[in-house]
Amino acid sequence: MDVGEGKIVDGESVELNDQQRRARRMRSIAIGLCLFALVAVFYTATIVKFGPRLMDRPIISLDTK
Amino acid sequence: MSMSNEIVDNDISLAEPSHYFALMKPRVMRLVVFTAVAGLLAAPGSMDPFLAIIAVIAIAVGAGASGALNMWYDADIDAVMSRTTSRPVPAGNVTAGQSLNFGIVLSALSVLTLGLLVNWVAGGLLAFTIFFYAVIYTMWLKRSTPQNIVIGGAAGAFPPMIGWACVTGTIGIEGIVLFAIIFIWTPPHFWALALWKMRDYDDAHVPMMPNVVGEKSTRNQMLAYSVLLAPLSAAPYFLGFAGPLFGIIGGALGLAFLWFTYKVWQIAGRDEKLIAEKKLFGFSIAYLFAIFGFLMVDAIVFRVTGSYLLSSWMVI
Repeated sequence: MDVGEGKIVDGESVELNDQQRRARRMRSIAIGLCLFALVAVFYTATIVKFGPRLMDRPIISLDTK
Repeated sequence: MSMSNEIVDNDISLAEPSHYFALMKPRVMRLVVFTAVAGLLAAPGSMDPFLAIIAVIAIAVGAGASGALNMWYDADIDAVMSRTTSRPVPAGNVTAGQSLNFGIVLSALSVLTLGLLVNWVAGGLLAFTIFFYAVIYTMWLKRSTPQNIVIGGAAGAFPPMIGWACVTGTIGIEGIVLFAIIFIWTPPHFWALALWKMRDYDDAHVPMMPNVVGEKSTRNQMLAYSVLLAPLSAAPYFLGFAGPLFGIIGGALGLAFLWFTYKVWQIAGRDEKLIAEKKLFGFSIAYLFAIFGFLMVDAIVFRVTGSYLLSSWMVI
């Protein structure tokens, strides 16, 4: 059966009207933005909390003994 | 195709992000952000600006979470009072269950963020604030005692203390004084509103002070709280975390608050329009913004110049 926009599939799915579809899309975008912001916050905060120590490590060992 | 029209009336949510945002009580959140920033700036010590911004956002989201939990639990009485009928749950934009879930998710995220990224004293205080507002105030006190907003006011008083704890990692007498200013300010502020919205609270069976013990006793208590608030308003200067100019302005604001409350007490409801009560309510909001706003300005001046406003003149 066609699963195209505005169609009922096997009588079990519910077709969303425009208002419902719009509300769902806006909710999805808002949740997406919030999750992205949360990841960005924790990523940046981790770097900020490490501070200069983040760079303070030898990339290769200079110990030649 | 005719089938689709029959199923249109389903329970699929029409809630939009703006409705969820309204669940967070943005106006209350604004005051929370303001006082938390003041506490954060007034505290001794430094904090990475990025983490400070995160801290303030986490505190704001925590406050929003308690707002959402409050709107879940209070949906029945919100539907009765004119002031609250347009809130998302009674208006039918968001279900009470969605409001509860939203509140729980935001509570967890805000407390974890503040605890993990700033410190756990601040995170713990935020968790306690949400618990206090949602459980102690909303579920228990609000409907059972006329002291509801006195004790519940503590929830609104925590933000500057949390801000202070973000920087210092402790609570301290200074944090307690900032807490006390809002805590003591709350009863006269709210009862001024309650005096002219009394019928609303009566309809909703919420035991506000004027409905339970009468207007006379309420006005006496408002005056008593205002007498306490006057010296507290200047206390940050005496405790050394604000300058002499703050002491003068804070003291003047405290005395003005006392004057407005005195007018409410003196007129004692003989004016049917309750202008004195409305004036006090309006001034009380201005008072809080002014006192924490000036605390902020004084703290910024101290951070930039190394001395508080007017303190160099006092030395001369």
